[in-house]
Amino acid sequence: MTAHSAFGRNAGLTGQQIRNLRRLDLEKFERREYTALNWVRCFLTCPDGVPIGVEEDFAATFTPREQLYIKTSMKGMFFFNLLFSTMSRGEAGTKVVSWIVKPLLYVADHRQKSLQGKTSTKPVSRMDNFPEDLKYHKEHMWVRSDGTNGTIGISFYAQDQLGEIVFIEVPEAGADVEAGEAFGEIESCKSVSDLYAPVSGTIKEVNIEALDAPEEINQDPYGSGWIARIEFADTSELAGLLTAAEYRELVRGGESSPRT
Amino acid sequence: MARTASILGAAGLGAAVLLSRNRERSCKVSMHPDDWQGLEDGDTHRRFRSLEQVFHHTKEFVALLVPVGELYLRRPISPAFREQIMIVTATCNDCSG
Repeated sequence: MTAHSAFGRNAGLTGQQIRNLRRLDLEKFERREYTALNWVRCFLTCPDGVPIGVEEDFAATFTPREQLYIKTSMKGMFFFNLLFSTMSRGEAGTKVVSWIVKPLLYVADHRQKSLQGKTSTKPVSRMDNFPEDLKYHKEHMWVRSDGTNGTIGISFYAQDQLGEIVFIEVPEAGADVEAGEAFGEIESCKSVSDLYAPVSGTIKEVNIEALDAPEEINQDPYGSGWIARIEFADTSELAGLLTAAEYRELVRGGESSPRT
Repeated sequence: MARTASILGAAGLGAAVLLSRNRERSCKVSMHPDDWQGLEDGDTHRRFRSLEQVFHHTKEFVALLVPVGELYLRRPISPAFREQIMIVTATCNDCSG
């Protein structure tokens, strides 16, 4: 979904809106939007055809011309999805697909930046940007402890390796996470990576601002780009994390790009 | 020169007529039986599995080329709405692109 998220953001969708599209809850959309999106979903996932009620609702809500454009959007994407999935099954196909997709992403990225009047969303790369007061996990997450609670995020190195972050998905508050286990996903213009919990615990709060504007993570990964606040299940796990010096050694040792 | 212009003009007129006819028909989109293959076996990435399926979808897609162009140039629906439809489509197809 990397390219799709990038194009969605380029068209003005927020991270939350993109996440809503994956679940397609009625409450999260205007009725007209939902009617169209639900029709598309039914068309693509119901082998017996779109249910009559959904079809009637769609026909009553949109003019024939609007229906044409909705179906055109769906069909165009459908065609290229199948083409992409078919070609990316082989090594040669993957290369061809990347030749097609990368320039498109570059254009989308360039357009978004020019619309925002920005020259770059990333600060100057500094490989030694590892604050001493944080603890680090080898999967490029940091933890700022505050007694029994802590804040987590991805390291400067990770955001630098990922490139422009376009989408991030983490569980909602109340979810339990396990140290070293994947608990979410982060997508950039280059790749999709799992987010690994640095410690075990319960998510108390998610940084909605960063989810809606993932470029915050690029711009300030240790500040406004934090990802979640966690209540530690076992504070002794913090002792097993890396210090800034150890983490610096890890990334300089060349082990490690974020796993994709 | 005049002859070339006449030929091009006639060809353009013919293409416009054909495309406008396609446009009236093009609301018809359909799935192919092979689109459902493999999904029940856990292969959630929908892909082309037969030439017949490729032909089916290529034909429908080509018939929609004019509205596709309009979608991006004239913007009859908002870009955000268009992308929403596309993301839902990509999600349903489990496209990893």
